[in-house]
Amino acid sequence: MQNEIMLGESSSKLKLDPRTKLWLTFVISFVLIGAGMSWIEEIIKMILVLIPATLFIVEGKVKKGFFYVGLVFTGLCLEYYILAEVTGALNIVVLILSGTVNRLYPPIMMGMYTVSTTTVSEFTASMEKMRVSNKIIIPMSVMFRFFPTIADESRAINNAMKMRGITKIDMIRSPLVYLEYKMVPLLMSIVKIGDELSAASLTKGLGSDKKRTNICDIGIHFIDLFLIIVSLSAFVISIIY
Amino acid sequence: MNNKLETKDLINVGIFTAIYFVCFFAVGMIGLIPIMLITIPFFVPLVGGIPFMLYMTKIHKFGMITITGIICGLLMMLTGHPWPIIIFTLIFGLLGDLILKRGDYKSVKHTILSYAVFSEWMIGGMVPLFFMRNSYIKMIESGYGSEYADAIRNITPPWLFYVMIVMAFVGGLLGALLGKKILKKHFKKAGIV
Repeated sequence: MQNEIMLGESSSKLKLDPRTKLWLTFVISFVLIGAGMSWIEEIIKMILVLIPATLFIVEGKVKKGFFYVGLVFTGLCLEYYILAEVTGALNIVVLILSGTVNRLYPPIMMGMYTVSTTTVSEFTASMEKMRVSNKIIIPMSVMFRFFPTIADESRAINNAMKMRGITKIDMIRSPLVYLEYKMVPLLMSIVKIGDELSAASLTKGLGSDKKRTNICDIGIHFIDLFLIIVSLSAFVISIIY
Repeated sequence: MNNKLETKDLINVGIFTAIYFVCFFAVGMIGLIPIMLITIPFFVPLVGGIPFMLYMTKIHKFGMITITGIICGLLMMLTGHPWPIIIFTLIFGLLGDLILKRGDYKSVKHTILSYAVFSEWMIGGMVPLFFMRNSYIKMIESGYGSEYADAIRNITPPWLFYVMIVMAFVGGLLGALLGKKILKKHFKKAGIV
């Protein structure tokens, strides 16, 4: 994933425009987190749930795609058939389980797809096309570059903490200690990496006043148009209902 | 001194907004448990204080907190929160910047106050719950079922909104103090600050 981000142009098979991906991420999270349970909304949900799955499968990550679809549909069945049967505390438990899977997982998957198939160059190019100010573009592209780094570092720190006998249970047993032991090394390495990144990108001329050129081929193609129309109609219908 | 934001500053904004938002999201997960939802405005600023205090040491110009605010707002909207949040992030980002400027970016007191005020943006996520109450609860009800909606309704009487404002502020203050303490304990020694 990280190599992908560093490259000038992504090696993804289906070259979607980053604007399309951002729009899809927004629609999926907007509709799924807010959607109700009427039949028309269920159909919209199904369609939206299938979009990231299809994208992943096209990308060659077949197992991931099918696993995700299976999980979400299990969640939907849980919500649809089991939820009405149980009451009290069990109801809340089922609700949280199915709710997390149904409402949070699809947007997260779409977000993962967006981040893992968009390079920083492509992202910048599309933001420039939308005439967003540099003051937003630079921090945003640094952020996208940094999310995977934070995840990697955090994993490494977790492993190191395990050696010292500090595990996730300490989150509850002694939260302040856990916080300190986790946050301090994380911040240390992030700041270091950040400084290096800063130096590297300044050397590459990010600070210059001249307009930067970009070789990325960004544009709305047929498949983008198709996905935008599908998601736009889903968005409009879910607002009306 | 040059007061315009340079590329280096913008990169710093990106780095620290990223880690701040990760903290925000990780802590925000406790909101899935209904009763814990109301404690979010307290715990998030508390944890976020550590990265943010380190961030503050890198800020010497006007506008950086505002940009952090705008980006947080955009990300919140991207993850499906109602739109009023962006107004709040913008306003409290600006206020945070103004307070920091008053302290000339050096004063410890102003730094702590600035973070506490900036933390108020979290209230933006709660606004629909209180001021568009009926339609919002109906939305929860249709989406998450009536038991959850009832639970939400019962634990959020209208006066709680004002309590939350105080909670976010106190959480911010404590978070800032915690952050300062940790900065002193670790980062000064390592020469990062």
